[in-house]
Amino acid sequence: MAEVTVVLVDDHPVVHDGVRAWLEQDPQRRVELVAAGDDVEVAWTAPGLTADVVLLDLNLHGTMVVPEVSRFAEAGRRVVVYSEHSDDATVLAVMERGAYAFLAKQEARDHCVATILAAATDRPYVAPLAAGTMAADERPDRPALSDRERTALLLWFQSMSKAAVATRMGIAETTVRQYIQRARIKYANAGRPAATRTQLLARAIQDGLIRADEVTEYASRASRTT
Amino acid sequence: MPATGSRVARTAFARLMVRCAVGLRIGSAVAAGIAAFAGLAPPATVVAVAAAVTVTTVWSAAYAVLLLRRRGGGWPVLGDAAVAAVLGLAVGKLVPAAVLTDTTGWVFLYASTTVIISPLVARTLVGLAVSVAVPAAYAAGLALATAAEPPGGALLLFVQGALVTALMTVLRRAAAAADGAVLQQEATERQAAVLAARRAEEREHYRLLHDSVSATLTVVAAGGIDTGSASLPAQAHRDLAVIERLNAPDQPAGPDLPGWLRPVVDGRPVTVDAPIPAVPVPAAVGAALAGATTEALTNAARHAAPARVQLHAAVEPDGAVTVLVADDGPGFDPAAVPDSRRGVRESVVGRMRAVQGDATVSSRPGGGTRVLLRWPGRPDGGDDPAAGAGLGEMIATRYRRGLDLVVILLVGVWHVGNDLLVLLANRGDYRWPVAEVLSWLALAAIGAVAGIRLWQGRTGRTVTWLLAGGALAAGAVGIAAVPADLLLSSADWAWGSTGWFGVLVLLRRPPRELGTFLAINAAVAVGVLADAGALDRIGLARAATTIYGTAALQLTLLLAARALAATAQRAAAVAEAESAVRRRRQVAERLHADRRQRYRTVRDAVAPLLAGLADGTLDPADREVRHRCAVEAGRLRRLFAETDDVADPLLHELRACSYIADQRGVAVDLQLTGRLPALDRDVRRALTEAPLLALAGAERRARVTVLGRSDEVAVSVLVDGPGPAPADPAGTASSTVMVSMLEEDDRRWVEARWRR
Repeated sequence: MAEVTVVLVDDHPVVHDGVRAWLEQDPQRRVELVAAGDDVEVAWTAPGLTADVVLLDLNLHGTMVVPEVSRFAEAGRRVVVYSEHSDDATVLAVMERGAYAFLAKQEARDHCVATILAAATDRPYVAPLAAGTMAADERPDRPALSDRERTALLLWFQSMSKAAVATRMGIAETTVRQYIQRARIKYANAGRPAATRTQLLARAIQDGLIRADEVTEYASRASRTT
Repeated sequence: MPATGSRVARTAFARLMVRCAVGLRIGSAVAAGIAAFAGLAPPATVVAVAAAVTVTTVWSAAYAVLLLRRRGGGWPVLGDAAVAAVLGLAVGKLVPAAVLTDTTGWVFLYASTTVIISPLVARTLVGLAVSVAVPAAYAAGLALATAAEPPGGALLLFVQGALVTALMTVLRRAAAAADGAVLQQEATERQAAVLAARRAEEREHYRLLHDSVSATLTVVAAGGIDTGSASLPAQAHRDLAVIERLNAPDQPAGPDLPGWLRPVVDGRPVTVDAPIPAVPVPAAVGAALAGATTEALTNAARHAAPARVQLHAAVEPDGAVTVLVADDGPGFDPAAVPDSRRGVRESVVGRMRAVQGDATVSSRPGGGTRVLLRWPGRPDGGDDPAAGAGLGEMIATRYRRGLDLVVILLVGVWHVGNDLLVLLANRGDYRWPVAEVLSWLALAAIGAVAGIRLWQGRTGRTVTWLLAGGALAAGAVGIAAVPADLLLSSADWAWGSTGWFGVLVLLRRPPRELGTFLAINAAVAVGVLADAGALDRIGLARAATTIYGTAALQLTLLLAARALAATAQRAAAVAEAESAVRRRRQVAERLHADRRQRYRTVRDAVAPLLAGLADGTLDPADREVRHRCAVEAGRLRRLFAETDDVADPLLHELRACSYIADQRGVAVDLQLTGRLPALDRDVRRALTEAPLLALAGAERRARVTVLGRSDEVAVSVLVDGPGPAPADPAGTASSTVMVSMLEEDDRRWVEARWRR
């Protein structure tokens, strides 16, 4: 019996087969695909409705469905977005709207099981490209990352190996993992209010990534600039 | 003193002023000499007048010779002032009593000319000194002769000299401004020419290298050549010759089209289906046609090997030269050729565009390939004459502005400073004072309108002629209102001033219009004199003196204005010629330096490698040799990419570095996050060098990531298979770029990071 269930929203039938194959590559078969469809409705109807994680392709029938991320997040659904549109603005927008993780399409094969498993326990998982986006972020109202957190993100983006990052930084691999997750939680802390944001932050407090008094009220960028 | 680039306008202007001074000097000497005898009456004596006229005539000739030879003031000016001063002191013995107190005597004409022409050819202070000394001598002469009369003529002489000195300052400023503008434009043009020449040659050299050295190294790197290949040593020898040619002093000039194309087609499997027309082409065009044809034939041999290749060169009716290379091989889909393939883009199309030509490649799968090169013939007009014309127009505009200002100031100052004061001083003596005042006002109004029109450059005939007619009529009223006994005296201001309004109105019109104007004005004046019965022998001499004295100046000013345009063109031609020489010298110097540096860079990097491949000491199938070829081919590619104009040069150059890996079958994945700041070429080279070495060692996969922030850029390469030669990444670091490397298992991870 799989530990985690996932529903897939993607308009390419080939991808459905691909995702199944990637999930089956996991020796312990910890993730089970319970439903798949070419429209978000598949995640709002049984059996997709009760899946632990929603795997969402951002481009459905030629439309970018970024607003759908908010709908899922407000309902407390754990969304993992993957897309071939991996420009910085898209990655940051998806995270701000409460998605648990962003996977570039070419990263999905290597990282989707780890991402889905982390999401199912309300823990963040940062794939290399999203790490690079956070490390390059220069928006004036970006979350304040420490130098080590940013270095860990950059080296993870470059090497795709946390062991290699640990060697380069001269620290333990678990510390690398902590730096990356802490950076991701800082982004969640700056994101819009949503049930998923609360879930992520609550788990992060339990895990000791962030203290309760560090959690801030969300202020939208529009209200901050005016 | 020879004209230099920074003084051409001033020098040309000074020469024109010398000609004006000489013309006025000789003309006034002749006119004064005639008037001296024609109006001879006591207290003047024949002996004194004959002696004086001999001196002025001989001196004027000497003045002309001295000035034209020296091309400047100095002693001739002082000599002229001395002659005028002596005449002035002796004025009581040289003119009739009737003209001693006014300004119609021949001595006054001679002295007036002296104070007017001295500032034209002398420095400001010398001009002013003459303007003081000559009137002082004249005043002294008057005092000796008449004792009681106030020296009005002397005062007028001083005003004339001072006024011309002031106006010359304005004109010299205009000429200096023109020189400044010429200098500035020349500097800009030279910079552009040097840059263009450097870039053009750089690109041509890189095209040569692309077609030879780079192609050979890439094939070896990709493992396409077996041990003991028969063709490789020959190719490597040819490539070495190409590198040596980079250092050649200049491109060999082909005499005509066959001279360029014959060496290209000889020995290649191509049919030339008609004689190549023997038309001359510029060396750059011949080189471009030859280079592009070579690339087209190479491509045909590479991709359409068994097919028939035809070359057809022709000259079209409009003078355009075309070369067509056609094969009946398998063809290809032009839309499917990626951007990073430089062959067609740079080596064929780029070459032809560099010489204002063009190239079209048409092909379709199964339908053969046609490459059509076209050069449109001689560029129309050419560059240099046009540039010279532009320069001439620029200088002419500055001159014209200066002269316009001078004429407007002259007429304005005179009409207020002289005419109005005279009118007011003699207001009770005029026959019709109101008519006299109206005449002054009408001329003032006409002068204002004409001045504005002149400044705005409007020269329409109808309005101009109306203004000229108005000025003549107003002047005639002004002259007619003067009583008979004051005719030709200073109270008769309209007599001399009307002509200046003619100059102001007609400055931009043909000289015959001002000539007609002045003739009518003189006829009116003479008519009024005749009507008053004042046209006796002395009166006629006085009238002639006055008419000559004013009209000569006025016509000279107009002719000088016209001559300035031609002077400007000549000055521009001189400036252009001198600047072309300087430009050529600087271009040649910079090209030479560039060439040496480029030659050394390429030779040091690839000559040992090619020499080894040529003499067989390096085995093209050996892994290490292939790796070295991959590294050097990548560096050459990066060098070529540096000459392209693209938005993100670093990414462009990284793609160039990746191209060789791609050709070797490595799957390269390039990821960018953030935004890249502008980076110098040296920083970009330091950032791409370690990644380039790592890419040369990749076996199957390579991940290239670029992270850009305003103060930091990190380029990283992750490859499988570390490659045979351990790269030395630390050696690629620079003062601003840090390089680090991590090897584990079968992965190599190299990072180059720049911090501001």
